[in-house]
Amino acid sequence: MVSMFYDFLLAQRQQLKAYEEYTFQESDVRQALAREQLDAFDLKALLSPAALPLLEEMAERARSLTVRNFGRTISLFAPLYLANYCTNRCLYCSFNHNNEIERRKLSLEEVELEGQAIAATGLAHLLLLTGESRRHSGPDYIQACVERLRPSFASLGIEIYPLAEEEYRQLYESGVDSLTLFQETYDENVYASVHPAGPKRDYRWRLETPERACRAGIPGVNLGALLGLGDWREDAWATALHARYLQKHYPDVEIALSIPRLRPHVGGFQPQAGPVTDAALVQIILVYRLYLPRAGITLSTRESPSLREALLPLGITKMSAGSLTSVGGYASEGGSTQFEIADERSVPEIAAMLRSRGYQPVFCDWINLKGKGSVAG
Amino acid sequence: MDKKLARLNNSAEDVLEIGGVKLGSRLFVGTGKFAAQALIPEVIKAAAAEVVTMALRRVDWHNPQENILNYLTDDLVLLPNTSGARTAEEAVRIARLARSAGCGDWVKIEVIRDQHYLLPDNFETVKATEILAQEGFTVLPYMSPDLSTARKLVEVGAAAVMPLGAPIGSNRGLKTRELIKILIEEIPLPVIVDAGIGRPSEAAEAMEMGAAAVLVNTAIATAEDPVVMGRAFKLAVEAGRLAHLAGPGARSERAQASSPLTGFLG
Amino acid sequence: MNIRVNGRSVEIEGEFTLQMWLEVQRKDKPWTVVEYNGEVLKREQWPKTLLREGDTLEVLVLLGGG
Repeated sequence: MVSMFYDFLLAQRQQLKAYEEYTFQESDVRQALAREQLDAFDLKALLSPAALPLLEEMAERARSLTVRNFGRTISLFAPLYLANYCTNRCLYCSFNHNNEIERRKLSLEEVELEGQAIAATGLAHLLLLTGESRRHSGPDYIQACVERLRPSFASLGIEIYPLAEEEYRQLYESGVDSLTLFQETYDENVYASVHPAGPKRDYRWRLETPERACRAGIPGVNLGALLGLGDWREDAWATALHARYLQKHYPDVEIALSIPRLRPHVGGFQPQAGPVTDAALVQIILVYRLYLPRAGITLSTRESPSLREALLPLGITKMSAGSLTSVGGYASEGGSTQFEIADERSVPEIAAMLRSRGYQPVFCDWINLKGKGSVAG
Repeated sequence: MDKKLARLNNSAEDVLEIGGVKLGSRLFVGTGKFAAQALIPEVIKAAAAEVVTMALRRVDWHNPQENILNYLTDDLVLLPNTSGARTAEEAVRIARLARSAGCGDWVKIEVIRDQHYLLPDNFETVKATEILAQEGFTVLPYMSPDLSTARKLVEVGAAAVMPLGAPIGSNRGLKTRELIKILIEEIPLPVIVDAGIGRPSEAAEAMEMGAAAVLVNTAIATAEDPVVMGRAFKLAVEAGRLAHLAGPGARSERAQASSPLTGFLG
Repeated sequence: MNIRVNGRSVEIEGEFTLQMWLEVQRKDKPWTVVEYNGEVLKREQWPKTLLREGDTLEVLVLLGGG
């Protein structure tokens, strides 16, 4: 039972090795759609070009599965960047150590003010982000921020550098109830090439981070590949298997997925894999939904307003709203951004858009009782 | 066509492995309720069964009894059950006795307190499974199809799980279909549907769903011709298994929506 | 002296080993299994086991079952 996802993924790839050159047919896709439980092979078929003619049929299914499992609701949250110091040199990220951007870290007082500004919009779920710098934004700092923000939010998530299991346990006790951690790419070679330096170079340590969070008791884990870094079909395939693997081994953890596409950023890195088209993004969302009917799917403000609205019925369950990707900025002036935001609408505007499309915007669907200052006291 | 077989990882020979034993047959046969025990060897042959179940009972002091083992050949895997046990402790006692009676290391845990519906006590079943697995038994627990219980059974060392399709002897088929499907999807052990299967078509259905095997007793033993029924079940189990491996065909789809969801892609 | 056999009280006159008593009862079949005071008793032990007042025996046999 202690097999880790790294070995699991290798074994899955090995099992389908014979099909590396195989051209999927529409009949493979139809077969996959006929099956009640999709396996790793079906997943490949649905992600293949052969599925394109069946996209509309897949979309109808995905919509009905989503409504059945989540109702006509969309949860809203906001990101709060605490610091952008970073020791990594990820080629695709503005926070890259080599980029000459203004480096900043919010003081605890600022954190509280930013939190209050976000809470004033009605949002109750907050996601905290930092770059990877144990010196500037170590676990103690994160914990201090969590304690400051605890009274203002029903739920606090973190999207920070990978931690050890014990560190996750401590943050969980302080009131963190979800982890977002993107593998970026599941292709070990591409991973090595886009992470030339810094602690993030360790592929396996990152790959097995979600499991450490699960073992530490964190009730929600959100995975994703940064689509466009590597071959998106492979990355979406591996992400879906990762999610299913975690669901099986940690049935008490709620597993969710994000679908970030590479965005313009400081540094201007262009990956070799080529851009992920809107159609590709649609296919990925649909496949995630068909393979994982109960998993939440998060759509960020990376995408444009019109695309966000078009994607809504296909399986999305959670959206960020009124987001800023600079350090601070909700209550004060923000600095450099991690990536460019495409949907700049405010929280009320997003809520109104959802209502007009027949969705209920959900500001709070769960209240974490852990941590000092939570509702429980 | 080979791609479908390859995906099903056991392409060449479709073998079921339990407790280190490789089985070619996925039909387990129970030996109770036969009008004449002399029928049993013929039934086993017709069913091509490799695993047979039996029970341990107090000697009937006034009537001579024949040992069931007299009717079973050496190449069969014997699966004594713990029927009659009402607690984990009793099941453990019976299992140990069965082993000393020469049944080998396999045991089907069956703990039943409820004498009206004859439904198993999952809690006691987990306890008995844990003790016997530690003693080196190959433990196949009979259970109500409950996911949490099945997960516990995995943890404590069961070799397979045996969810019921319907109450014992009811011949009512796969009443617990949806729950068994969940076990098949989630449990990393063979799922063997035990109890309730009344007809070969129901055995085929269980196998089509992905059950690793089925255990049939009443439906064969109480058939007008148990030998022919044994053969019918053999064929049904094989057909269901093959259907599972082949993957179902696409069902016809309903009409398209008036405003396409992916129209925006142009 | 009184012993319990398969849940019933049985009166025994004189001294018996388990082996002897089962022979007399014609229950010493090769497939008979005996639990003696809660413990499985191997066949080799039968001739060495002297029945005593209050002993509890379960005498069992394998039968058809599902």
